[in-house]
Amino acid sequence: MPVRSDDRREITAFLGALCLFLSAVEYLIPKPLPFLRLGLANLPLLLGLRFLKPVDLILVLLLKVIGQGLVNGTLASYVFLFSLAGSVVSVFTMSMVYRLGGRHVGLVGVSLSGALASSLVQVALAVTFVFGETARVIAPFSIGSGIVTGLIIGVFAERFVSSSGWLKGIERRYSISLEDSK
Amino acid sequence: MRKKQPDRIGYYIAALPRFAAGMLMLPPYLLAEGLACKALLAAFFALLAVLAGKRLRWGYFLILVLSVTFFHLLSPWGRVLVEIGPFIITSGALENGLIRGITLVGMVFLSVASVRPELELPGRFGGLLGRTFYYFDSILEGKRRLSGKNFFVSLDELLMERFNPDQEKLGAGESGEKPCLETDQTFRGWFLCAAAILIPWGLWILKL
Repeated sequence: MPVRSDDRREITAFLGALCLFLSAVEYLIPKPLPFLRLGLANLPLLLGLRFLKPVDLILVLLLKVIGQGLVNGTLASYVFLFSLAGSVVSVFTMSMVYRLGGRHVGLVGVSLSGALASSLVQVALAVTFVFGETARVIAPFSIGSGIVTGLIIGVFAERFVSSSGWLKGIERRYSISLEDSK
Repeated sequence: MRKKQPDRIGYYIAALPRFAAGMLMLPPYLLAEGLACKALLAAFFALLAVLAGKRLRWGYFLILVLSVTFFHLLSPWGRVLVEIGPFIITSGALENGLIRGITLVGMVFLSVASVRPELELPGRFGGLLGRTFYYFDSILEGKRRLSGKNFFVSLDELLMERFNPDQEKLGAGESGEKPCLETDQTFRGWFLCAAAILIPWGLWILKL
């Protein structure tokens, strides 16, 4: 199979698009409270940890955050900053846990760590820029919902990894393109 | 299903000048101090967002303003207005909370009105984002294939159909350009941009 050097670019762009698509799917799921978010759009980032080079993972992250900002029109608002900060910290934490944990930590654990880190950062931002000091009382609720959503996305990721032929094909294609570019 | 509202601003103003106009309206909005001025400008930005064809979730924004105000009221400051048991409503905390909440909501309205998916970012990253939007549209076209019952199987099939990793050339024969709502910037468009920018600057200069 001939491999083109821009396969990496195409796979990165498609994973970014998958983030935007899952974000749109999540919009259709009814929520008990308007602030609650499941974080389905983080699934491609979690899956990407397994095979993407760090630079491509960062690109998928930026495509997700900036793409969501453009689609929802929130690029020039505080929502974008919250999303950017939460996603950056989450991906950094997940990468560290994934690499340091090795075989001892599954995708559920990795997802949980990312969701917790994201919740903590967003609470810190909310306290500093939006609600004021007294909003520390929302921290347990925010962290609690982070644990639940992190677990759900982690279980989703484990199931998708075990059943998806598409993901196996993408991982194979990406690794060939890496070897090809050496 | 509700019908999508047309983007009335998009008829006259292209994506880049529109974004630039939005950014030029932000400084006077952030610098304005009075509650009345903030509320007026937030209402103006909400009008722009509605003209842009956006369906605003009023309940969500109301809850946001009320919750921000509530947390500010927990730190009493200024003249006591009302006492409800141990809960004291003070003028300073109430005004501060409302200003903060309305500022945040107004920024979202302005952003929603001025940012369009057609906005093209420069450089290699802009090109990559264009590819991403191309694929996003492609996946959206097949979204009906997704089934709640067999979510993982149907998602896998959809992804395989839209981006088959075994094809010879990934993304073959595709332009990679963003779906574009072509708008020619008209004279009326420039005039409307200038008028919209003058409103927040004028209010700030007049110190309303």
